[in-house]
Amino acid sequence: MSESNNINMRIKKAVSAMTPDRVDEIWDKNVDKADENAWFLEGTGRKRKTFNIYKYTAFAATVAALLMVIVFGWNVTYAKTDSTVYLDVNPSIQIEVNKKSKVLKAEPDNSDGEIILEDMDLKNTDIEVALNAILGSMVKHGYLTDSKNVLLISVDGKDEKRAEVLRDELTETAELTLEPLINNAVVLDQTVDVEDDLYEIADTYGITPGKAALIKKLLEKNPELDIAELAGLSMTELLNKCKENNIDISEYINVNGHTEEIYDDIEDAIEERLDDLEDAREEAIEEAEDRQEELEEAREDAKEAAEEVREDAEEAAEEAREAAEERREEESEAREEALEDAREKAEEAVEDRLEDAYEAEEDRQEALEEALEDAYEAAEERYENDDDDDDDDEDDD
Amino acid sequence: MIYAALVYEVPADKTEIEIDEFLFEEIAKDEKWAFRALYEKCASAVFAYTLSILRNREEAEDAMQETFLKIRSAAHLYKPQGKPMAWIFTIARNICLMRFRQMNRTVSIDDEEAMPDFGTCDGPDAEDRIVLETAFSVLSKEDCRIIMLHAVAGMKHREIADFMGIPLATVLSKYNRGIKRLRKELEGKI
Repeated sequence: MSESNNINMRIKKAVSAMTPDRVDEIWDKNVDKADENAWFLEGTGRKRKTFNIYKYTAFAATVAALLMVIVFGWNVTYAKTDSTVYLDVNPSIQIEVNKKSKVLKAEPDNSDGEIILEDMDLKNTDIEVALNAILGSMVKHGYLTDSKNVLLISVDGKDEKRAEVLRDELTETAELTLEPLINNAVVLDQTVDVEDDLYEIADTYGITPGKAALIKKLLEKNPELDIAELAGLSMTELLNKCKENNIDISEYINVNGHTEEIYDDIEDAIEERLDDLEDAREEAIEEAEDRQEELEEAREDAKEAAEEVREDAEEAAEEAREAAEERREEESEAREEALEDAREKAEEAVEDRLEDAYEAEEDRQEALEEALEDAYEAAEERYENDDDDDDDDEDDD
Repeated sequence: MIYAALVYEVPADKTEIEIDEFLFEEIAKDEKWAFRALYEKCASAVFAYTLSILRNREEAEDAMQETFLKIRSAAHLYKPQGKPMAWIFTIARNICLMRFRQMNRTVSIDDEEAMPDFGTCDGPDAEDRIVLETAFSVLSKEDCRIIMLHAVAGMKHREIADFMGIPLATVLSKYNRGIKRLRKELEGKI
């Protein structure tokens, strides 16, 4: 029994042992019959529709007409391939299914696939039943074991949504089928859109187009890998190859929670992630240090430039101060000169005026003296005249 | 397929729980034998589910009991659609949600809480109990619920995805992750 099966069984046994028997207790309680709208029935399903005879008659007529179409269209619809399922372990098998997920054809893509499909008539079986049978055969023939435990399911469908649903259903079926048979079964899945190049790779190397699609995706990002080598590997070996080359296969396909198998050990996964983070951290530190240095240099340059600007400004200020000083001195001299001139002119003017005043005074003095002289002379004359008169008078006497 | 049958046998206790839908008709007619038959088939599964939500043994038992009471009261309304377990689990879920609301729980059923209370767990084998307790203590609520539905109720992953309303790939991923975590935790314990 596989380990997971063992765990499930223990859980089931533990819960069963804990489950109380309350049948009598429940049965003894009175219960009212619930109606359709009871709160606890929410989400339990569709409401019952009332039966309408007229609708039924119309419906029956429509069905009859449709049946005629269906009878003629049956082969077209249900005999046509709707999806192709590719299984790769090391045996490679492809299965064509119709819209109803019934097998139309199952073919091996290599000799190991032939061994698996030998004596199997899968036509018209449900694809899930066919998958069960194929996986069982792979286990029986030793292609799937505890150590060779990787299966790839690829689905190529006309309708993408249907293909995805089919992929999910087959993955679940494979997980459930393999769980009790082998330990740690790893079911990987993908939807593919198979074109000519994938058919070519598949035909050349004896693999399914599904595996070819995965190999192509791996080579696109990891061109150093060899296509022939990858094609020749079983899925288990391919997964190991990816691990060795530090390729995270979950980037290319769905791994359905099988993370531990992608890395040797989940600790390796964590360690690798820590290494990546450490590298990123160191890179970030280096970048930060470089940026710091650049900032320092820029700061120094800025300081120098500022210093130069400051010196230039000081020089300019000094020059301006000197120029201003000179201007002030020149202005001062000019003012002095002007003052001097003005003083001189004023002095000259004063002197001139004084001179004129002296001259005018002298003239006046002269005039006065002349006037005085004249007056004195006149007076004298008068005096003399008066004396003469007196004498005459006297004489007259 | 004969070939498939020859290649392997699916262990009996691994199969999905199969319920004859006519049991509901009989329960609706108040036939106790039918009710007991149904209870014995799926009580553990319902209990596992309510335990994974309520994470308290006593509350889970009460929720399980209430589920079966409601089954009794609504058995006459059951419409055969080939999914009796889905109908039963939907009722159980609605009851658990109602209990949350009534208890004014401030957390939702998907929030993480501390280790659940199993009470005095007399019954299970010691190692089985260790496995169960480990599942509840180390796994997230959702991972634990998925494993309970698969291990105890035997639901397929697709059915679990439909029931829980999450993508199938998510269910597969969580289931695988949960099992691997359990395996690692149980190394050396059992």
